[in-house]
Amino acid sequence: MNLIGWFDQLGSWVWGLEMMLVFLAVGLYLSVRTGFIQFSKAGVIFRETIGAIRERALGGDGQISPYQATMIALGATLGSGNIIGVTSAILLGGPGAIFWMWMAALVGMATKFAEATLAVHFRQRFADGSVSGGPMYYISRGLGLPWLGGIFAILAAIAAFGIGNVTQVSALSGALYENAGIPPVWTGLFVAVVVAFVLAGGVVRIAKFAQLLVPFMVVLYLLAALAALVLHAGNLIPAFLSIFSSAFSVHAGVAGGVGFTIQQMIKAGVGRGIFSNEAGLGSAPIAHAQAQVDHPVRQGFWGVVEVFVDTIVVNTFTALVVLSAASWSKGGLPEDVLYGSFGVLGAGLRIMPLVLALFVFTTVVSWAFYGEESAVFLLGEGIRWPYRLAYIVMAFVGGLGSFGTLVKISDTMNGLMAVPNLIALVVLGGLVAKLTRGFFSGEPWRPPR
Amino acid sequence: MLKGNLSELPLGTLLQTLATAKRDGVLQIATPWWRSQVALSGGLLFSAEAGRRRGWQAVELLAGLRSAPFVFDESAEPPSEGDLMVPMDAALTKLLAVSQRWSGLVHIPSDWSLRLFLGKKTGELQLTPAMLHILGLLEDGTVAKVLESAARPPLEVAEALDALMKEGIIETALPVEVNGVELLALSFYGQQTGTAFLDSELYQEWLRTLAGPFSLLVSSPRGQETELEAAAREGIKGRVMLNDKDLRKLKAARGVKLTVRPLAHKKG
Repeated sequence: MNLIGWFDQLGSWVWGLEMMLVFLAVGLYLSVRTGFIQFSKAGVIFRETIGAIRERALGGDGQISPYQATMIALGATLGSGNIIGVTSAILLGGPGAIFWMWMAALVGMATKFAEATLAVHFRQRFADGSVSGGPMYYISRGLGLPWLGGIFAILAAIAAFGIGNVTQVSALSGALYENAGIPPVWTGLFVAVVVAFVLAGGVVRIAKFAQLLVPFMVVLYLLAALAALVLHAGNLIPAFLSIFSSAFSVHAGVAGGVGFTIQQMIKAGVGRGIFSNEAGLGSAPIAHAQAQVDHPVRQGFWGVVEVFVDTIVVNTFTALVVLSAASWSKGGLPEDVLYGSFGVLGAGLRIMPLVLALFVFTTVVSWAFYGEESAVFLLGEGIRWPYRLAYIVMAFVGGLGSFGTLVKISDTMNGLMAVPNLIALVVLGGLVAKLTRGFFSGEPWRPPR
Repeated sequence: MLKGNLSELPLGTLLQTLATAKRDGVLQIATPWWRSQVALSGGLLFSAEAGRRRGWQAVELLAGLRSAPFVFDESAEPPSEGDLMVPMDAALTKLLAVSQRWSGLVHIPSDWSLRLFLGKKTGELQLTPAMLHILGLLEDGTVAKVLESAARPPLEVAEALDALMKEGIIETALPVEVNGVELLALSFYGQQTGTAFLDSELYQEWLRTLAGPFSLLVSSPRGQETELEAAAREGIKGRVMLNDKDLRKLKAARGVKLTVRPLAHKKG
């Protein structure tokens, strides 16, 4: 077997059913350890996050507000997976897949809570008040395994070029070429220039960029979806009910096919529920670690909200649009089904390439930060600018082609990031529980020395 | 109209001067804590008032003032009913004895606006009923307030207070006023209600300014107000951290601007 074949096999394993079960098991374990915090403290979580959204950053370490850190993380997770990916899940598993997507997201909330909490707890503080954190730090400092933290950082630094960069820019340039006839070289150049400008300002500029763009694109997409739902209003309630009615039963397949098995349905839904919000992959904690907070658990709350917005809100809107249009039952390519479902908007459909472009920009910028922080963990501050330059060049090149091999390798790297991260989450689950108990007892946070 | 200050012309000497000159009128003493006046009419010490004290108890209390501006207004009408009606000679003799007792009370400060609080000194002291009564009045009490409001004759209260201060059981502190500051509310959770945390830097600054422990008067934009114990916590600059339950009582939430003012020496 050649190297590519080996990566293929590894990729199918890390993105396969067995690994999904591991994600779910870890999420359940962390839910138990934290007393199912995503449910038991739901009110507190929303008061502390959405309820305090206008609040400025707390003093102390870090350079950006908890909200900005979350917007960077959301910028990375919100992507074509929330639109095309959800449509694929419905095509592969039927409406019931959405129910299982929700279930997986609810479990994933505890995972993301633990990731964000640990990222702040174990972050590295520098003399100038800046911080660095993420799984590489909590693996290295929390587990006492710097080599495993290093492996995570290598995987993240490489994965950023694929999942965060070439895959995104390539999809955008393809869509813009097909819909607007814009040559890919211009798309690549434009993305590279914008990314270069944002990255040059460091985490503070990245945060401002995400703070501005992410809420805007979410609202824009939700308004478009809402408009489509209003125009499909007659089908909305049956579509919603079909999610529950078909969640536990065999459902007729697309185009009169043989139907979905429950296993297919669960695999498609759970897969979307896990990979859409990246809970457990270890990418988002790199952003959460930057937040100025007085207690890590407070940032953990934002982790829960991140999953909620990504999967429960955005994905559900996509699902309802697709299901209420009913065209999914005829089958077809996910892109065609999706555009067919939004076709009710008429000329308003033109908004979709803009939404896709915004999703791409935020993903590219957020992943640049993840990759850069990982590279700095490995090689020190000196690598920051060379990494940025390489990333900017790849953003331009990404517009010119799909780079199948590179994307395949980086996708595998992305999936492999979960392995050291999930190990750390299991081992440090007790600490997450202790920090959570401490927070709810009013104890001050004492960062490790 | 005669004007002056009790620091130059003590009450006994002043009244004797007025009696010798056979002057009738109202002596108004400008004390910042309460309304004080003594009326002279027809060769009698006609009436006296010092805050809630009336009659001889008011004279007894005013005799302890070591400094206060006064004005004697001959044109002012005395109250319609006198609460003293004591011939001036008898009153002055009695006042002389009172002044002598006051002069021995050297531990009571001349500034009666000072706040009283329990000192840290411990030891054995036979507490009299008057002393116990004073200890019960210490909450938010100044020297003036204790002397005025105690349910015992003022001189008895003053003597008991002087003895307590001599033993260090009661101490005084300057009535420092610190302006309130606006801080963003930050919540904490758990059983510890009634405490508000300030950033360590601000806490230390107020501790120095007020020369001792303090509590916090916290006001919300919706007009709710509560007094909480002050404590310090690291890394919450620009914030005041309240238990979520206390925040709800204030009809506030995390991120709301609260006005926070330190109150010195609620307790020692």
